[in-house]
Formats: sequence, C-alpha cells, structure tokens
Amino acid sequence: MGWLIVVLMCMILVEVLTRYVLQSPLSVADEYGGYMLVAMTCIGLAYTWKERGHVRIELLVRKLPDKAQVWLRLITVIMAAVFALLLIEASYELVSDSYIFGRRSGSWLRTPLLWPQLVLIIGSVLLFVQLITEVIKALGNLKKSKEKA
Amino acid sequence: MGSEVAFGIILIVGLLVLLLAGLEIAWSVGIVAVIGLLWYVDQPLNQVAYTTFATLNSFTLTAMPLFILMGSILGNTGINERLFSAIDKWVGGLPGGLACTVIGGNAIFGAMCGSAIAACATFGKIAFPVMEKKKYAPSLGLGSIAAADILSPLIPPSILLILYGAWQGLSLVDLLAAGLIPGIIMAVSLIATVVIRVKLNPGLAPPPMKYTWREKISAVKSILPFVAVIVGVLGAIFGGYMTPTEAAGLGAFLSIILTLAYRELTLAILKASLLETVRVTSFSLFIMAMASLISHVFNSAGVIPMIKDYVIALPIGRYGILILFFIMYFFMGMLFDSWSMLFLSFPFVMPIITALDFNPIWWGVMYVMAAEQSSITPPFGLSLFVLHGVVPWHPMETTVRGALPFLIPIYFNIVILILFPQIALWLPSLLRG
Repeated sequence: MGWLIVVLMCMILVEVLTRYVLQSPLSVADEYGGYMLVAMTCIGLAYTWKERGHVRIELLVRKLPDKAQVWLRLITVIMAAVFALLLIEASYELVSDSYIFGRRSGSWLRTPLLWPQLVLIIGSVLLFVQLITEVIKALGNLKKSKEKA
Repeated sequence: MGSEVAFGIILIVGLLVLLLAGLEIAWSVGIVAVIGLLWYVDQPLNQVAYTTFATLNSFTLTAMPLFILMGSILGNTGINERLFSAIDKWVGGLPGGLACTVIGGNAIFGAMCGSAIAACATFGKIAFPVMEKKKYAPSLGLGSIAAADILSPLIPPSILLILYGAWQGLSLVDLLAAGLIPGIIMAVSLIATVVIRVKLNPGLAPPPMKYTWREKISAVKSILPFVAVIVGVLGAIFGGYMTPTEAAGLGAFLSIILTLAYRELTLAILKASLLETVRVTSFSLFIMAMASLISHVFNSAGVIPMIKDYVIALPIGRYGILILFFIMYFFMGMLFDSWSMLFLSFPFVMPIITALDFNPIWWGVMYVMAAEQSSITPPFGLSLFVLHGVVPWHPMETTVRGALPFLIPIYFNIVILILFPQIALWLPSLLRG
C-alpha cells in the first residue's frame, strides 16, 4: 500500500514534466493526488493501529495498578471498535448517496465520486477487523492478569 | 443560550476523560464529535464520512507524505551520520563542540525531514553515545539535543507548518518562507547559548577538536549532493517554479535516485520508508479529519462562536490573550506532541486569532515556538520523555537541567518575533513581490 506514494510521486513528476515540456498541463495529478491521500490515510488506519502508530496518552494510564490498566484498555479498545463500526455505516451512507445522486467531481475529468469514496468503506472495514483482534487481545490480557492474581 | 454552555462543557469534559484514559487521540475526538453530531446538532451520520473525505481530498496536503518520504529515505540510509560528521568539521571547533554540531545538524536535518520527534530520536541515538565517550557533561548533551528539536518545525520544509497551512487553507509558500529566518536566528542563538555555557563552565565539555581546511572542504564535498537536493527543492518552491507538492514529489524522487547512486538504498529500506510514511500520514491526518468534524459540530452548535466572544471580551488585550494561549500550550505540552496539540486546539484558537487580527502566517511560526518550548519546559515535556526513552540510563532531571538554559534563547526569539513580526513576514512578502 505504501507503493501508492511512489505512484503519487511519479504522477506528480509527469504532471510537472507535461507542464514545462509540453506547455499543457494534464491536470490529473491535482485531482487524483487528493484521492490517493484519502486512500492512503483510510486504508492505512488498520495497519497504523497494528504498528501502534496512533498517538495516545499513556503517561497517566501507566501510573494505575496493573489490573485497572488492563480493564481500562479493554474498555477503550471496545469503544474504538464501536467507532470503527460507525465509520463503516457513515461511509456506506456517503457512498450510496453519491451513487444515487450520481455525484461527480467538478474538474474536466468528471470522476464519479463513488469510486474515490469507496476507500472509506474499505479502510473502515479493515480497521474494524483489526480492532476486533485488538479486543480479543485485550480480553486475553485480562484473563492472564486474573490467572496471575 | 444556556444549553450551548452545558453542551460545550459536557463534550469538552468527555473529550478530556477519553484522552486521559488513554484512548487514541483521533478516536477520542471522533467519538465526542459523533455524539455531538447525533445528539445536539442532529445531522446525519454520513457527515462523518463526508468531512473525512473533504478534509483529506487535498492536493496541497499531499506535500506532507512526500516530504516525509524524502526525510525517511535520507534518514534510513544513514545520511544523518554523514551529515553529522560533516557539520562537525565546521562547527565542532566552537567551544562545546559536539553540542554545537547537534544544533547545526538539526537545522540541516530539519530541512530534509521537518519532524521534531524524528530528529530528537535520531540525534539521541547517533550523537549522544559519541558525546558520552568523549566525556561531555550529560546535561549539556541531552539538553542541546532536546532544545534543538525546535529547529526542524521552523526550518522549511516544516511538516507542522504544512499541516497547519493545508488544513486552514493558507498559502504554504508563505508559511514555509516565514519559518526560514526565525529558524536561522534560533539556530544561531542556540549555538551561542552552548558557547556561553561552556565558556562559563569549561568542565561541561572537552576542548573542541581542530580540523584542517582540507578536512572541512572534503566534508562539504561528501554532503554536497544532499544539500543540493534541499536547495533545489526549496529554490523551486520559493522561486515560484513549483508548488510545494510538486517540489516535494521532486525531492522524494531525487532522494531515491541519489541514495541509489550512492548504493545505500535497498528495497528493504525503501519499503520501510514507505511504510513509515503511511503510518505518520495515517495517524496525523485521521486526527486532522476528526478535528475538522469536531470543529464542524462545535460551530454548528454555536459553542465555538461563544468561546470566541468570551475570550475576546476578556479585559487583557490582544497580547494578554496571546500569553493566555502560551500558558494553555505550556500545560498541553506536558501530554501532547506539537501535531496533536495543533489539531486539538486550533478549532478553538483560530477563530480568536482571526478575530484579533493577528496575521495567520505569523501565528503559524509563533505556534511552532509555543508548542516546542512547552515540550522541553519542566516539570513535564514530551521531548524530555522521548529523549529519556532513548537514553534511559540517565535520570530525567539531567535532561531537564540541561534543557533549562536553552529556554532563554527560545523566549528571546519569541519576544523578538512579537516585537518585530517582520522577521517572519519579510521573506514571504519579498517572494510575493
């Protein structure tokens, strides 16, 4: 998925080249660059979670007793999963709206917005799956800490 | 009227509880925003997806992952070490040798990657072991590494300023140009601080190394191509030949070519750099999207206009309100990094800045200073913690004590920037012609 950045980079270079060499910009990169950024961010959400890339404040939580930490993490991860579910629902509604009303981009490409918006659904479904495994992991930790006690 | 107050207070308290409970920042903001959206503003759920799409679908913002890619390729291929030793040949001769090199290195490294936390961790890893071996006082070493953090978000291309500008719809060229001169002044005054400290207390550092001119020139030669990339990228932006996004694409491309030519780039490094870029982009832009959502919710509910009117009516004047913001960032900086702080606070802060008629370009540079000073100000500061994580064998107090004197040049820079806003605004106005 990171290769999307390489595609993005090449597209921009081609765009610059056509502007300077052919004196006539393609004006494709402007539009598709934005779509790629949406795709990279949304599809990257699950991966970033897996790699613990999403920033959170751990400073205060770490001061709690172990048992409380495990419980708190379980609760917050469940909340995160529920939010991912809401994201799926929201993106589904957005995409189906774009489909029904046949929304298109304002540029000469007249791209049906349905396609770039589809990544929102893909991204949030992947995220939800990732978060379910996180919930299971958190439950496992809870069990472990109970056995220790 | 009353219900907005209650609504605002409940949601903001809820947000704080979620954040402090350790829920990821983007999720804390998102959950609170959705609750507000459905419960109070009464808009359909698809607003969440719509705002996310609209916030991220921005060609200007695409400059960010491309600059991050450029920085992580140059960083992962060991260019920093090369850079560090080359700069040492030039500024390492000053009293406090390596500590000056760290600051100079951060200034140049900032021009390649633009992210403070990355710079801090890198220099903590490569510079500090050398300093320890050469018997530098740990407080000087760690303090200079922590303080030099302020440089990369100032010196263009600054990711923090790109995020701010693309999000708030400001000219990235103006913003990036505005950071350059304050960044250089800051670098010089930090180096001066090191020199003065070592002059006052020679025990802090061993006598500096002396290098010959031949060594100095060969050092320049060894990093010349990389410096050329930086100068080319910035020149293309400031000369008006390319948009920042195009220049970022070119910069990423050139750094791939260059590291390939030096036979330092492998497929594994490229892959790691790409994934690093995805992680940083995804985490920060998702917070940005959720912050846009909460901004939409609080605006629709009338909470933001209400806070704005309240703050503006405070009888402390424009600069009093500015000081108030600095105090707020001082407390936020104990827990948040400068990016998250930007996303969390700007939905509320920006309307006030605009209403008080502060120049938003100037405010961007001021924010960098406000946010970064808070991350090294005792008793808590995020940079101090990050650095402590890199060198856990030194007590936190050593870093804190070492960083403290550097607050003097930082506050000095803040004061002159308030007194003479032209320091930031002159270059952008020059470029506009």
